Amino acid sequence: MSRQAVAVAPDLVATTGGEILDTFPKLLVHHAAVRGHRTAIREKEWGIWQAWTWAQVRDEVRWLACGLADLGFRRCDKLALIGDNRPRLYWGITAAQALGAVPVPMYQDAVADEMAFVLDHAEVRFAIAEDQEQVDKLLLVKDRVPKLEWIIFDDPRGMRKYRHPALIAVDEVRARGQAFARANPGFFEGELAAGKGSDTSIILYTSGTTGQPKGVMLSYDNVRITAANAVERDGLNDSDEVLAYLPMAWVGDHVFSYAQAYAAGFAINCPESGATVMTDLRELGPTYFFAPPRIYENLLTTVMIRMEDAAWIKRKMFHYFMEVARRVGLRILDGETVSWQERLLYGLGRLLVYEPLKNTLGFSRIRVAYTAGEAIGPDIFRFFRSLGMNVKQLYGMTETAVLVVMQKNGEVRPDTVGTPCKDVEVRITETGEVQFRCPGVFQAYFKNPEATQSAKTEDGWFLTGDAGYFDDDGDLKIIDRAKDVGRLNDGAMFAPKYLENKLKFFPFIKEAVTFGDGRDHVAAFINIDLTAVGNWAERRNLAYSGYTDLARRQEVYDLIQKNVEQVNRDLAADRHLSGSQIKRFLILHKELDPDDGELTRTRKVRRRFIAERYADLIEALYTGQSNCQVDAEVTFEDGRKGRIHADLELRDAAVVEVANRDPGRLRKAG
Amino acid sequence: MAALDQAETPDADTREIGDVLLRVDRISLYFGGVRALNNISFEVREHEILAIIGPNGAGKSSMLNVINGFYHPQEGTITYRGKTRSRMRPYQAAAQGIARTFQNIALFKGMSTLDNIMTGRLLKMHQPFWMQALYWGPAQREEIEHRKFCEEIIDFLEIQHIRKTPVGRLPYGLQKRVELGRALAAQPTLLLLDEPMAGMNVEEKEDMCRFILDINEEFGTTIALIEHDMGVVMDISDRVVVLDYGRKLADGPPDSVRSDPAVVSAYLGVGHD
Repeated sequence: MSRQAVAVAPDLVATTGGEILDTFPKLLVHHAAVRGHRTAIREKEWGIWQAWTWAQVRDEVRWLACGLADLGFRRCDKLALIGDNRPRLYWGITAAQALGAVPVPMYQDAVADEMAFVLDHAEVRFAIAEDQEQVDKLLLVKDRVPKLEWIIFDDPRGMRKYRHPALIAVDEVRARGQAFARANPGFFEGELAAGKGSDTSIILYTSGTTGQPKGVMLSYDNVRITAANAVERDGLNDSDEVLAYLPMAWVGDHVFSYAQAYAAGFAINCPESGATVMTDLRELGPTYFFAPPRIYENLLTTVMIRMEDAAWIKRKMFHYFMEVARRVGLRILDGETVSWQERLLYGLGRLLVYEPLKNTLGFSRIRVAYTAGEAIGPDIFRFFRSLGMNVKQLYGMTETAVLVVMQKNGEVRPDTVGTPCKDVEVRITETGEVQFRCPGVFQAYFKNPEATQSAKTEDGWFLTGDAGYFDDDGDLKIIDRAKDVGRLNDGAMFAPKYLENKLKFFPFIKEAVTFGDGRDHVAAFINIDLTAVGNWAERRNLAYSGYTDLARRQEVYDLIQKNVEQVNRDLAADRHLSGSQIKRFLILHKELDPDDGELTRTRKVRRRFIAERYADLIEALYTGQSNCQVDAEVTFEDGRKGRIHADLELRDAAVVEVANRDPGRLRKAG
Repeated sequence: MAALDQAETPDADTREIGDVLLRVDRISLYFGGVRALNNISFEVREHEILAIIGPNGAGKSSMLNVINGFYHPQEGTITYRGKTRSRMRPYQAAAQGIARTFQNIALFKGMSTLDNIMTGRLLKMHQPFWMQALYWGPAQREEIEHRKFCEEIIDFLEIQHIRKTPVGRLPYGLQKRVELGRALAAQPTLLLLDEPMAGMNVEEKEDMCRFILDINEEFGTTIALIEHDMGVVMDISDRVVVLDYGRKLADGPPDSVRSDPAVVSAYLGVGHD
């Protein structure tokens, strides 16, 4: 089948001894033979990057696997791995896979009870824990998970007094493995050969925002072929470097730091500790990087704050050349034509600002960087791209081994996620739901056939539950969860989260709630950002007493109206969403607050609750009133309750008329 | 296998409190007419954690200063590791394995965390100054060895993220930790801590407690500490000595000290109703 012929590096297409390299342990042995002297993994310890070559890693994995076998670990058993990104934990994954067992990485910051659920559900027999903290949690729940037999620990610090019979140090397992390997030559190779691509390679538990976590079973083929396709698309090779700093239990780390490293033969680097990631990033200078939008946002904020403290000449230079970058940088990166004057100016900017800045951040050597997980603010995205850093977006989920839709070089836009990867079929249903059929589609949810049935069709399509469509350039655009997408009365598609995100990307808007499903037009509640708008007001000598006062100022309404109208103009340019422009809005008299039940603890808007609570305001938005009295109960931080009365203004926002719009008809693509 | 051969009791205390390491005998210290310490005697045993408590001005810090040779008492003797002496210089105390931290942090503010901790190794460096300056041959090997030791301390105290940061820029709680690191770099037999948790929030205190207990367990270091937080004192110390206006009020395990009426009225306070 064509799927097996994955073109990565020439040596990876070839087979070893007539056998296909269809599992990660087989790939490891292959890499050790072909590039045995190259670095496979580094860890910063004692302040220095300690490195292991592919050949050394093969030996470590062999000893660890043999040690596990010696302790009684067998094919199809489950091995839990808990801790920060550590070489031994990565080797633990490969060692388990070498024995045909299934690794189950777990979130290191999970509390003991959450761990107990996964350990029990996954029927974990052995666990490798990083340190005392994780061992303590495991010991706490051990009585509740009778199947757990051995707890193997890496860092012995603080455990001198521990005498639990189930505890064993990883060094001891390794020593037993060495003896076992001597006594049973050929055992490791035999176990390796018994593995095949269709076996389950890993179970990744989704964090589960609703209900209990689900264990996503991915086969070797799922992970390996998906990773290899992406490696091929971006031209990654064995000279690349990545920083492995995201949780090992998250599919992102498993694919970027584990599967792709095996697929391309590049080196992964484990930071010293969670607190040193940024320093380690700078020291290392990775060539391939993945981060959720939050991290790019924090980096940008740090840069901006530090520039404010810089000497005036540096500050001036920074702002001048960032303006040049904004004008020219993106076009250069996208391969468009740029005049020689602009090119010269940009070159000067590189010398004086961009390269030093990238060096400070650790991004000097970046060839490809990705972001995914949620929508990234266009300003943040443009900032890094204008510096000449090739940041791109991708779309995927645990159930598809992540890499299904990615942006191509030169075709990068802030609000789309790109085009399908090799071997990926995409279809969009009548309801607007995006569905995939690709090599990465998971086997099943572990011990949960009902969930599997509702997420995966008989013929292998995965139902994402996300609504989206292909834009005119053939790029996929994800707008919201499919169940939240509604219709206006004229049939136009209404995607509340997409509109809210667009509003929230403006610095003055902190939260937004939009309404429109089953209505004649779209209306929005706005929460202003007190810090940003407060700052803005101060600069204009606008006195205010607090949030409520500031929120009802005419000047503030004018400011927000401009933002809303900008959103409308953007929407008008979009064939599918031009019908859902925001006709009316109001600025709420209080900040939406988890204490009042309006937001979840992770600050997600609880739209239904807000709709009930502020039914009067919504009514007023749709009846054309220009004012509305509101009287709401608030909960103070000490638990007392109070009431806020306010007279809110309701505003109309200008709407761009679009002739001949497509009311959300979605074309199929494949 | 080792893990199974061991006793079946989990969390058994492997630390054994040994012989007397330090004995102060009838110490009196005057500053002009002020009697800072008046006829104080007590013992510190190997591997124990001893807390010295008392109200402000009770003479706690003076006592530590006497032990590490900073002050010279007018009367009384100090016996350390079986050797009795009446006068000793701080560097002699340091050479004999007594290290300390200070109530008001005494670090080199402009130097990095790592360099500060390296200064704790100074007495263990044997290569001549000019060899070290050239960083060549044996001096280089020696420096690498000491650096490795300091890195282990950095790892132990979980301060990797501030390794290269000048300590003047660090928050108070971290500076305290760096100071502890510098004291540890001298591989002390007896560690004197002067209010290690003063000015810290609850979380920082918990961390510091954990480190003190870990040092005591992992390295078997004997620790004498001054602390005001009674919760901490009662939790981590094996024995408590109570001072008040230069006199010793009580000496014993935390529980018996807590219920001693003299201690309660002098330090913990009594109800006046």
